[in-house]
Amino acid sequence: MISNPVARRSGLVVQEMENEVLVYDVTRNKAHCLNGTAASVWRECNGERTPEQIAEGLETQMGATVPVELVWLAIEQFADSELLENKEFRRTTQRSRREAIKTIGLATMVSLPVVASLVAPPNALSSSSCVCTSPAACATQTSCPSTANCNGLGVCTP
Amino acid sequence: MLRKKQNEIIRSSDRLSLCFRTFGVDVELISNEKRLLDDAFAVASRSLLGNISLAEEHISDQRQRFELLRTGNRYYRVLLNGEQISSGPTRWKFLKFFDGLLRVTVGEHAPNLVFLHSGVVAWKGKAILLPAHSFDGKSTLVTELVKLGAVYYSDEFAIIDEDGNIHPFARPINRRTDDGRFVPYEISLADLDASVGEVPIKCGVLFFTKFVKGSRWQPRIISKGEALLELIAFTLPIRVNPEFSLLVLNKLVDDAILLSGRRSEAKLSAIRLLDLIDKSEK
Repeated sequence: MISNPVARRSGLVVQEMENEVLVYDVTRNKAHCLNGTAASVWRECNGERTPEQIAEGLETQMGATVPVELVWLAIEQFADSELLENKEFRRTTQRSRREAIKTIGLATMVSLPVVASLVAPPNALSSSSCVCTSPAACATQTSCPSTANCNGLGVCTP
Repeated sequence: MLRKKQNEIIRSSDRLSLCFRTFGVDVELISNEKRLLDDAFAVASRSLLGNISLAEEHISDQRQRFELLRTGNRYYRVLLNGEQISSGPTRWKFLKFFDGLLRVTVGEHAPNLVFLHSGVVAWKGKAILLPAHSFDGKSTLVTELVKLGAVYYSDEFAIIDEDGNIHPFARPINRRTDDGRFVPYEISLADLDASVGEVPIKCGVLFFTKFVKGSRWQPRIISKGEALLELIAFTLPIRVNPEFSLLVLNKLVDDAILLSGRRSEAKLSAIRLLDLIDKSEK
């Protein structure tokens, strides 16, 4: 078993931006946006460093105090989003995120790591059209006001 | 006699078909009724603004295969690549559904292009993109922007090439009545006296907005990452070609002003949006 966090690389499309990273999981059709702090932690998760060592490395990079709690907060979000190879990687002592955030907030100027996620529409039709021939046609169009009501004019309406 | 023959339902072993290419996608239409095939082709040609070139049969194994079938009891079925997508008894509804399905399918599979469900107008040479779901008020806002002098590009799709340039797709603007019946109608570009875009342009503003009655005008600037994440929901080829889609979307947002926020009445929102853009350029 790997004892350090390893960022998943396979089955992902990664778009690096100036301060963020967008990760698209092609196996789950789910997109994740990592803010600057989360992206920094994710880049350091190579299986060779412990969370404590990652925190130390980030302190040097950012020139600011980086508590290990902050690294853990990012790692837990990666695990929840299935962005770790070893998704079972968790800290042994459980601590609520609220408690962790309180501790971090007092200890650093670095922004909290955030991973925002979104599932891609199930098919292209669901993202763009509300035309229908029957209620069944509306059922596949998840962006329409109703997924069940095809009115007499061929539109899935509220 | 000729009419009778045209309406004749053809045995399943004798189905008629025709193939065409549009936006780089090979499409095959198959039907068991000659008139239905002709009508479907006419719908396709109008739907894709004439961007169609007829081709030899079975031009590519990768073609999108639409089967438009009429059964004996005047019931219509549409299959895409062998899978039934919809069915119904009303011919015009059926053809209207096919119209939407065809565009979406082409948008999903067009090579070297990314189709985004979005309104598009140009203001001072750069595009304003308004990605939104149906019923969010996209066409209404596009109409008001055009009335204020913006150049019309599309009220349905932003078609983006590999360099991040947006191409015009200027179909008539589709609206629905707001009387609770949602009767669809079209506004012709001539009626609006609209200038229509002819050349590809870069994105100047990307604005995620939806109509919410009584909401305050408080658009906020969002990051590139937030914008890309939001765009996923409107990107037709995201599941088919995520790598190319994200590459193009990244180029799209590169130098754009990225905004998000609710809007109330369309005319006032259009004035405020153009004012905001003008001020940001000073």
